[in-house]
Amino acid sequence: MFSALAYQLSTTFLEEQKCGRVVPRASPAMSKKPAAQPTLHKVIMVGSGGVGKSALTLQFMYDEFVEDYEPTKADSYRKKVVLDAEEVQIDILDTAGQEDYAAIRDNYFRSGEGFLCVFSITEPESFDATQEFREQILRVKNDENIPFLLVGNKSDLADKRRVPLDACRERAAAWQVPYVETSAKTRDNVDKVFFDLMREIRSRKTDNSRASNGDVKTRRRKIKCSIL
Amino acid sequence: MFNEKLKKMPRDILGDSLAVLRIVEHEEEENWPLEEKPHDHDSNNVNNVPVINAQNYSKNDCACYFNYGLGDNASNRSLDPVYQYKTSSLPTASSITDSWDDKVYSALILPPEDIANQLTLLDLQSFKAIQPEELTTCGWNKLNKLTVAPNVVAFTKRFNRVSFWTVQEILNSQSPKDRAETLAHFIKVAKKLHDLNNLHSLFAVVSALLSASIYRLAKTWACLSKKEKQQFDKLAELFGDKDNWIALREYLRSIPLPCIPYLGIFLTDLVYIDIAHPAGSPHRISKMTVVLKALERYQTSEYNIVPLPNVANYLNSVRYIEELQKFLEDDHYKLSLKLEPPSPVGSCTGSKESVKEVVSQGSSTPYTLSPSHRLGSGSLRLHGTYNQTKFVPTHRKSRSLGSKFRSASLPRNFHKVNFGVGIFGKNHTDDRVEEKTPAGSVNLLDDTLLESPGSVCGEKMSQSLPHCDLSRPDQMECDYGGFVRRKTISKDGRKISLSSWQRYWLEMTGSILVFYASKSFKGNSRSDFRSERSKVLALEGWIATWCDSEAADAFQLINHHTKSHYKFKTGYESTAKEWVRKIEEVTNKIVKPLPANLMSFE
Repeated sequence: MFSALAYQLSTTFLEEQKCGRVVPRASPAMSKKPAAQPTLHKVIMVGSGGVGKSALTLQFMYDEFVEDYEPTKADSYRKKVVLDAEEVQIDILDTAGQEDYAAIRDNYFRSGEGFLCVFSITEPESFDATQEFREQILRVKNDENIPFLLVGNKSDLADKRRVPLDACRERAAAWQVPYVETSAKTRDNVDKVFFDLMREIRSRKTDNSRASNGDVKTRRRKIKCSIL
Repeated sequence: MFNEKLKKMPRDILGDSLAVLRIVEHEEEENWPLEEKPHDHDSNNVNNVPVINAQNYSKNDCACYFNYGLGDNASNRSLDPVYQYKTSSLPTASSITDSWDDKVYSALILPPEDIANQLTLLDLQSFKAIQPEELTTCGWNKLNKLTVAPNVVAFTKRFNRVSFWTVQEILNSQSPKDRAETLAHFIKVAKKLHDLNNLHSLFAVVSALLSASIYRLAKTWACLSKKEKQQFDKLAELFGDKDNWIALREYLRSIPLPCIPYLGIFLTDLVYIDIAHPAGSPHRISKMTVVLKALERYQTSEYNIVPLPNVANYLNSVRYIEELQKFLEDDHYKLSLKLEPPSPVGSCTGSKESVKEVVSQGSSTPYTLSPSHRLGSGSLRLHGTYNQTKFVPTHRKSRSLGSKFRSASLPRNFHKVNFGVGIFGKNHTDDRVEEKTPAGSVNLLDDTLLESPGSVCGEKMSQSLPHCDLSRPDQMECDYGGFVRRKTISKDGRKISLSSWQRYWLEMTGSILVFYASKSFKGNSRSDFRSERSKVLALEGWIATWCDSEAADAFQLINHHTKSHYKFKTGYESTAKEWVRKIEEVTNKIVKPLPANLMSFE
C-alpha cells in the first residue's frame, strides 16, 4: 500500500518537475488539472546494433517530423500520447550505438518498466541475440512477467527474410510474450508495438497496486488505472 | 610493502575461468598502445600469469573449479581463499609463511590514486586515437567494425575490461567484509577518476558496481559505511539515463579540460543523427559536426601523470575474449549467487516451502556478519530445531544451491536462466555436488545445524555420535581439560583469512572435544567460561600435531577428510604436548564404524 502510494507520489512529483522545466507546452493542461499528471511509462529498447531500434523510436516519436529531432535535448525521447482515452507519457530509453558497452546494460535495464526486444528478420544473428537480452533482463528484473514484446523489424524486406516466421512465433510462445513484426520504413505496426507494450505496463502497474493493497487473489489483468 | 600487504590479503587473480582466458587475449598487443613487451623483471612476472593458467587450462579443461591439481604454484594458491575454496588441496600449516609472489598485483594493494591515474593515461591514449571518419560513418555499429572503426572498438573494449575487472576483483573475496573492502577500494578509485574528469573509466567502474552480480550483494553493501555509500550514489547519479542522460550531459559541459568523456552517449547521438538526417539531408553535416567538435576538444586533453609501467602492465593484463563476454558475465553472476545466495523472492506466497527455505538457507549460509559463525568447522552447533532439519550429507555450497533449485517461489525458468548455461557446456553445480559429497561424516552435521550456543542437544545427536552419549550431558565425565585459544585456519577446505584467536575452555570426554565459550575477556580458569557447551567436535578423523615450529605452546587439529584445520594455543609447551598425546590416544582407539551392511547382522 505504502509503496504504491509512494510510487504514485514520486511519479507525480517527477512529472511536475519535468513538465515544469522542459515541456512548457504542457502548461495549459497543467493549469487546468495540476494534480493529475499523466502516468509515465518507461520503455526500453533492446537488441543488437543495426536492427533498427533507433529508426523505430524516431518513427514513433517524430513521425514525419523527424527533422525536429535534437539529440541532446532532455525530452527528446519523451512523448505524451493518448492510450485508450487516457493521457500518458512514454519515456523511451534507447542506447542504440552503445550496444558494445555491455557493462552498462544491467543498470539501465533496472529502470525499465517494459521492454521492446528488437531484431531484424534479415539477420539471424540479431534473432539469436534476443535470447541473451531476454535472459539478462529477467536476471536484472527477476520477474518473468515483465512487460515484454518480441519485435521482428524490417518486415518490408520480405524478400531478404532470413529468420522464419515460425521460429519467431515459437520463441515468443516459449517466453509467453507477444510477437509483432514491424517496419520502421513503412511505419507498419510501429505505433502498435509501443501502445501494446504500454498497455502491458499499465495493467502490470494496476496488478501491482492491487497486490500491494492486499487484493492478491484477483490477479487478472484489468485495463484500469487508478490515479491518486 | 606490497609483500606484506599481500600476505595479509591474498586474493586470486589467477584461478578464475575468466583469468584463464587471458592467455589467448594476450595476442592482441597492438590494440594496447601503452603496453610494451616485458623488459624488466617486474613486467615479466606479470606476463607469467597467463602461462601458469595455460597449464591449468589444458589439465583441467577449465570447466571444473575443483579439479586443480597441486601444481608447482600450489604454495601460492594455497594462500588464496578463493582458490582454497575451489580446490581439493589440503591446507598446510606452512602456507602462511610461504612467500607470496610480491610482484603479482591485485587491485587492493594498489593505491586508488595509482589505479585511477594509470587507467586515465591508458584511456587517454586510446581515446585520442579515435578518428573522425570512424564516427561519421557509424562504423562501430557495422559488422566490419574492426576495420572501419578499430579505435572506437578498442576504446569500448577498454571500458568493458575495466568494468569486468572491477566485478571480478570484488567477487574474488569470500566474506562480505572482504568484498566490501574491495568495493570500498573501487569507490575510492571512482572518486579519483571523477577528480581526474575521466568519465569513461568512472562509468566503467560505476557500471560494475551496478551490475547484476555486484548490485545484489546486500551483505557486502551492508558492510560499507554510510559515507561510502553516499559517495557512490552521488557518482552513480551522474550516469542516470533520466531525461536523455541530462546529468551526464550537463556535467560534461560544466567541467574544464582535461577530460575523457564517456563516448557512449556521443555514439548514440551520432546513430540518431544518422537515422534522422540520412546522407544528403541539409542538417546532417552540421549536426554531426557539433558532436565531432565536442569530442575533438576533449581529445586535446593532456594529463600531467607519471606513468607507472608496473601498474599499467597489471591493468593491461586484465583480458578476456570479447566473444565470451556473455558467458563470463554468466560466470560472474553464478559466482555472485554462490557467494550470497538469494533470499526467496515472492514473499507473497507465504508457503511453507518458502519458510523452510529461510530455515535451511540460514543454516547453510556460510557467511554471516557474526565472526562466531565462521569458526567451528567440524564442530556441532547444537540447536533445538535440529530434529526438524534433515541431515543431508552434501557440501554446504551444494546444499544452499540445491535448496534454491527446489524453491517454488522463484520464477519458473529461473534455474534455466541462471544456471543452465555453463560456460563450457558443463554445469558447475553438478560437479560441486559430486566432488564435495563426503561419505556421511559426522563433522559435516555442522552444515545442517543452526548455531545456538547453550541450547541443549537432543537425543537425535547421540545417533550420530556413537562414542559418547550426549543425551545426558551433565553426567559426562571429563578426561582432560584446560584453557586454550583457538584459531580457525581453514574450514571445509575454505580458508578463513580473517579469523582471530578465540578463548575457550576445552574438555575432552571420550572421543569428543567440547568447547565452552568465554564469559569475559580475560581469565584462564574454568569459572571464566560458560558452563553450557558452545561447540562439540567428534575427534574421529582428526589428527593432532604439536607445532613447535611456530610456537612451542601450540598444537593443531587437522581433518583431511573435511579439509578443516584449527590451531590451538595453550600457553605451555607441556600442555600442548599433553593435548596432542591425549587426542592421539583417543583417535587411535576409535574403531572404524562398521559398514552398514555388516551392522545389520547384529
